Order: sequence, then structure tokens, then C-alpha cells
Amino acid sequence: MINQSNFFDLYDIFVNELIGDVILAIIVSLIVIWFLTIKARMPFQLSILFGILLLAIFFAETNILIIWVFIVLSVGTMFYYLMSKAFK
Amino acid sequence: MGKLSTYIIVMSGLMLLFYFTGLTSGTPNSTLLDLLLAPESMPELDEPEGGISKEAILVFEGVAITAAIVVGIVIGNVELALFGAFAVYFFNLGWDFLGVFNAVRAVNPVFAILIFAPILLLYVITMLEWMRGID
Repeated sequence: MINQSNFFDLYDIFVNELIGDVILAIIVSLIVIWFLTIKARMPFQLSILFGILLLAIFFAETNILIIWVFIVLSVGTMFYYLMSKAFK
Repeated sequence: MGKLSTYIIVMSGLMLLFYFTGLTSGTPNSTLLDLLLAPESMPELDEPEGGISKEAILVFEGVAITAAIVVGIVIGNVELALFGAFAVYFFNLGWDFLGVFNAVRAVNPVFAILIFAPILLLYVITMLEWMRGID
């Protein structure tokens, strides 16, 4: 919340003032981050991890259960899939 | 055992992650994990729910595993005993994966169906291929 003692709250400016909704802010941020990582020719695992990092930041701010479920799902799927490939 | 081993690792890992983060409960494997991690709270596990209860599933699986092992030993086919026990475990894992699907569906049904429907269908096909020996 922006007030006289906290006038430079970047999260509040970005989510509430600029975009207006948390889920919409997540979707827009994911699109921007993935666009930039693909343009910088990063490996796709790094792109996914940047997305998960963004989700973790939003979850730390909002405590929304949907974000937590998707963080666990994506991290678990990626980790265990790569582990199964490593053991073959 | 190409695709099935990947499935087992991913499904078991996801099931454990969802169990330890508190997102699934009431599935057969999570009940067994509850018993393993906190045996003193065994009487609290008996909670009535709609549909097939996990106790019924566990009893069915126990009978099936025992029957497979006994028949395998009586006939003299050890492979049948192992195959039967593994088949029951895969069945159990399927229930747990449905528990993970339900945890995701509770927060967002559209994403859950979009992500899990192909995976669950492929699990059935992978099981069939494994049983026919062409996996």
C-alpha cells in the first residue's frame, strides 16, 4: 500500500496501479519474461525457471493457493522428469 | 520399461511433493504414509467420505497382492507373484495421481483438465504397453 512512509512500493505500483489485478499481472509478466528469454536465446529450462521464480515472488507477496499449487506442480514435474532421464 | 519408469518416478515424486506440502490427503498412499510417519495417530485416520473409501481400496489391494503372491508360489511362477504385486502398486499410484489432479482441480479446473487429461490417458496406454511387453 502506498502512503507517505512507503511511497515507492514497486509491487503495488506495478500490480495495483499499472495493471490492476494479480492474476493478470502474473500472465503479463510471464509473457514478457518468456519473450525476453526466448529473444536472448536462453535454454528452455532457464525460461521455465525464470517463470517459476516470478510465480514464487508473487506467491510470497499474495499467499494465493493457486500459485503455490502450480509452483509445486511445475518444479516437481521438471525435477523428477529430468531425474528419470538421468537414471536411464 | 522406458516410459513406465519415467511415469513411476514423476508420479511418485509429485505425489510425495503434494503430500508433504499438505495439498493431498485421503488417498491410499497418503494414508499409508500417515501410518508410516505417525503410527500413534492411527484411530484418527478413519474418516467417512463419499464414494469408495480409501480403507476399501487398501483392503482390496491387500487381498489382491496376497492372492497374487500365493497363486504365484503355488503354481511355481515367481514372476507372476512379482507382476501381480507391481500391478497393484501401479493401480494404487493411479489413485494417488487422481488425488494430485483433484488438488489442482480444486484451485483451477480448466488448467487441471488441460494438463492432466492427456497425462492420465497416456498412463492407461503406457500400462497396457507394459503389460504386453512392448514398452
